[in-house]
Amino acid sequence: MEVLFNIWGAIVNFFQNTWDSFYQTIIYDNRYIYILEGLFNTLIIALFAVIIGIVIGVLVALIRNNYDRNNKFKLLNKIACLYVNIIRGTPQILQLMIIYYIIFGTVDINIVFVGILAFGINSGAYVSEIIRAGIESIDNGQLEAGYSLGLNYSKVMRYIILPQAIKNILPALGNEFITLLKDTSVGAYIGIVELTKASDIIASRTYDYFFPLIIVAIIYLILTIGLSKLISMMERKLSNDYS
Amino acid sequence: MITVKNLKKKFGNKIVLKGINLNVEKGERVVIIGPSGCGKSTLLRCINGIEKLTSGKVIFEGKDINSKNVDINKIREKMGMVFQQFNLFPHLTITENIILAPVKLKIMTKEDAVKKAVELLELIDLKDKKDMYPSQLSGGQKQRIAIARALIMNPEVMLFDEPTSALDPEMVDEVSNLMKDLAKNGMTMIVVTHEMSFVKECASRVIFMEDGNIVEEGTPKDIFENPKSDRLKEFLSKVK
Ligand SMILES: Nc1ncnc2c1ncn2[C@@H]1O[C@H](COP(=O)(O)OP(=O)(O)OP(=O)(O)O)[C@@H](O)[C@H]1O
Ligand SMILES: [Mg+2]
Repeated sequence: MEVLFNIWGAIVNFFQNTWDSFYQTIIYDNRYIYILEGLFNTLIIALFAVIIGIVIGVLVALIRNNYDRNNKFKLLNKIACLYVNIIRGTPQILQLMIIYYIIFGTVDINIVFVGILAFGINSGAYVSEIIRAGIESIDNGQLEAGYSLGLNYSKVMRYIILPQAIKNILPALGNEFITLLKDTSVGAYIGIVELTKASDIIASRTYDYFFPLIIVAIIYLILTIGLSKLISMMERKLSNDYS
Repeated sequence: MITVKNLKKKFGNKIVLKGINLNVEKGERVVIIGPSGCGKSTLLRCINGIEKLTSGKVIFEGKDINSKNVDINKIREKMGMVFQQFNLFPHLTITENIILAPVKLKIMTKEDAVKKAVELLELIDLKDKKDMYPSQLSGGQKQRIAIARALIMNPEVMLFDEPTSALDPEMVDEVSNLMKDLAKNGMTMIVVTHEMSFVKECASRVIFMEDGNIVEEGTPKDIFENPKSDRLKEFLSKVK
């Protein structure tokens, strides 16, 4: 009897403690607001960074492809190569710190904006490689057929190559977005209150890491799994077209 | 109409064309034959500027096509090209394939181009395929569409690079017959092919190439019944 009573007590105790921990993490002092703010910043940074990344990526890919194919844009191509090599050859956290502490070191600037810029510039290099690979995956005969009809390089790209390459590019871009979403956690290092930093702030108040980390991990998972579901849906739709 | 002057082409250290001289007049049907790897495709590709020359000249209607002052795209509008692998645009319907160039180059309005495309499709007997995609067509049908796509530009000359070589035997005739029709209507043609019925019926001149050189040329009769060089005799004995 006494044993049962003790077990019951332990169970009650456990739930009481868990509830307390959860309460301290989320509800007390409206701490959930940190998480919401973190989530908001994570999404904003990832979204705008991927947009910047796509703009840079398309430009860089076209410059490099135009150089490879037509020997045009020699100088721009050099710059584009340098950019891609620097971004891919240095740690992202270092790029973020250089942009924050050196480039914007003396100006007062919104730190989320710094994050968007740094992650966008970083993403552009990877996106340009994705797009380049997408373009190169299209059979050369397509380009030649376009040329033979009198179309110039930019028309061939626009009407023949890119519409086909997009099939390979879009899913890879989706994956890049997922990677970017997770990588924004690096922003915590310079003090951007994104999801990971939010959990850290809460934990430093409660001295209890369990719920802050687990909750944030679950949020990341929901976002990334949801996105990859979306991507595979898109992929299926694209591959159904014209084949 | 087309003059090739001492055309040389290297890929790296490999000399693929060793000084080709060729003159094609309006209305001629020149057929190029020769063993695999002798440079037939490369020659055609140099003639329409897809491949850059190492030295020499290609003159089309009095213009050096590789000159800086000449817009190669304008030249190509007047030179249709048909490829062994068809190279239709898989993301576009048959009609869209045919009208893409004239519409995007603003040579025709979309309505006019569609009308013209329907006429061409009627001519090649594929009108019912106008809204299908290339992947839904047989090889012979694809190649006929590729010819129509070139024809809508009203080219002065048509270049064919082994147009029937990728086809199943039973589909060779439909493409070959279409080419014969073009020839009978006076189209200037340069054709790389081993399809003998076309060569015998339509060729005004046959050119035998080997190893980057033109070894022998003449009428089909000269070439097939009265070959002079040993290499041509050897080649013909293998083809037969
Ligand atoms: N882009 C290229 N780079 C390097 N070598 C090439 C290239 N294109 C063709 N060649 C070489 O040039 C030679 C001539 O090729 P080409 O395609 O003109 O021959 P062909 O006469 O058309 O042969 P086939 O009957 O097999 O089509 C071949 O030895 C080929 O390997
Ligand atoms: Mg060839």
